[in-house]
Amino acid sequence: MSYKVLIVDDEMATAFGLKALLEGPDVEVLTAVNPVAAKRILRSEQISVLLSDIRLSGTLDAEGLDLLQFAKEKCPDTKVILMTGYGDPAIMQQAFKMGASYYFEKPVELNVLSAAIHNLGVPNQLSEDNP
Amino acid sequence: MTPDSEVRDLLLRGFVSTAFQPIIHLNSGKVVGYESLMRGPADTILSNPGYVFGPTSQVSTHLIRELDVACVAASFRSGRLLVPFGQLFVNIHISTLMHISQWQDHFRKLLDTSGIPPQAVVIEISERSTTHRPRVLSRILRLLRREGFRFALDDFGLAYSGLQHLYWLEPEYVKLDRAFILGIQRSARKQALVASVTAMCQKLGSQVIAEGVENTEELLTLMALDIPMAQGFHFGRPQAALFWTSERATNTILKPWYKASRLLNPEETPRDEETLSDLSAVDSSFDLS
Repeated sequence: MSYKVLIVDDEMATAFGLKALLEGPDVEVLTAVNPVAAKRILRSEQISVLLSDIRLSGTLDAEGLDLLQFAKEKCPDTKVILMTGYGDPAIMQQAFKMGASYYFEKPVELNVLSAAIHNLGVPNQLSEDNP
Repeated sequence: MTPDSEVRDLLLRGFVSTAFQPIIHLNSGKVVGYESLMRGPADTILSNPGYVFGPTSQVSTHLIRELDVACVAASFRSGRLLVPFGQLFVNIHISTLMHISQWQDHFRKLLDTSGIPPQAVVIEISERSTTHRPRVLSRILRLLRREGFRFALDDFGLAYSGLQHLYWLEPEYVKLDRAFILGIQRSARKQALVASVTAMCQKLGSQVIAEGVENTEELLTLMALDIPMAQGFHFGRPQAALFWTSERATNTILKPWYKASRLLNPEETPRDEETLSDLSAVDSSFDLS
């Protein structure tokens, strides 16, 4: 069985770094650097896990929450992991209420992230190395 | 879902965040630091820290420790934004401190990753969670103090063992419980008690922070009594770390302080409310060393 993971982060280096770590024989990793591109992929592909940063434009907006809502409406089978470099209880609260599977405040340890993705049913190299 | 499984699920999924509340030096209006406070999702066991950390908690001790460590981690991750502006006051349960050897490397790594020097961290120990081995705790604190950490005795005045803790733990700060601050302007007995405790703490080398200041009258009374520091809703409700780095936050903190200062010393402080934003802009560059 093959899985698709979508990583959304406005820092390309982060997105590509995670892609390299998570990609495997059964896992295809797609990336997007903005919400418009992310929504386009969510519409056209069957994504198992959406892994998104919350602040995607570097402003105080929380575009990650908008993506979470979009995913819940358009592709309810997609599980969502949200991450942020600016921990905020109000955002955490919303993420929980809207049905995010995981919420992480950065920096996130890679083994924690890979375990989360693994728990959502997607095998990955990191979780196999560190069961 | 049992209390344990609910805590475990929320911890695993990362739903623990922190809000911060400023602590103000009453003589200058400067921010001394920010206390980090745990926040969990509403309608869950983490919505009120008392459900987990309180005396009636139904959560296993080892899980309370795991949650405590997760809260400290969240405090460091978000608190790194505030370190340039003041000290980071972080609550750690006595039970976690008593087993600090298990967590020390984890905390060290977190501090390194977040770029926070131990000297910027004040560990708050609540009087609500006591230990029967104050000497052991005292030795642990001495070791941590050598690394640069400082300590605050939280909720002082609530428990019977307060003086014992004050003696053994030698905290740099003593946080007076809000019960003594509530309506202090109307109670000569509270004023006498707060002034006496402050004088005693000063003699012992600890600085007093009054908790739970909620209005101008309470603040004014504390300033008249020469209490060194205070925190409470009057200076702002707990907010995300990023909020406290903004200019709006500087105004939030300074406005009540200027108002009280003006009432206390009408000739020494600015008369014009309009000057507040100008002054705050200047004061945002306070030397915090």
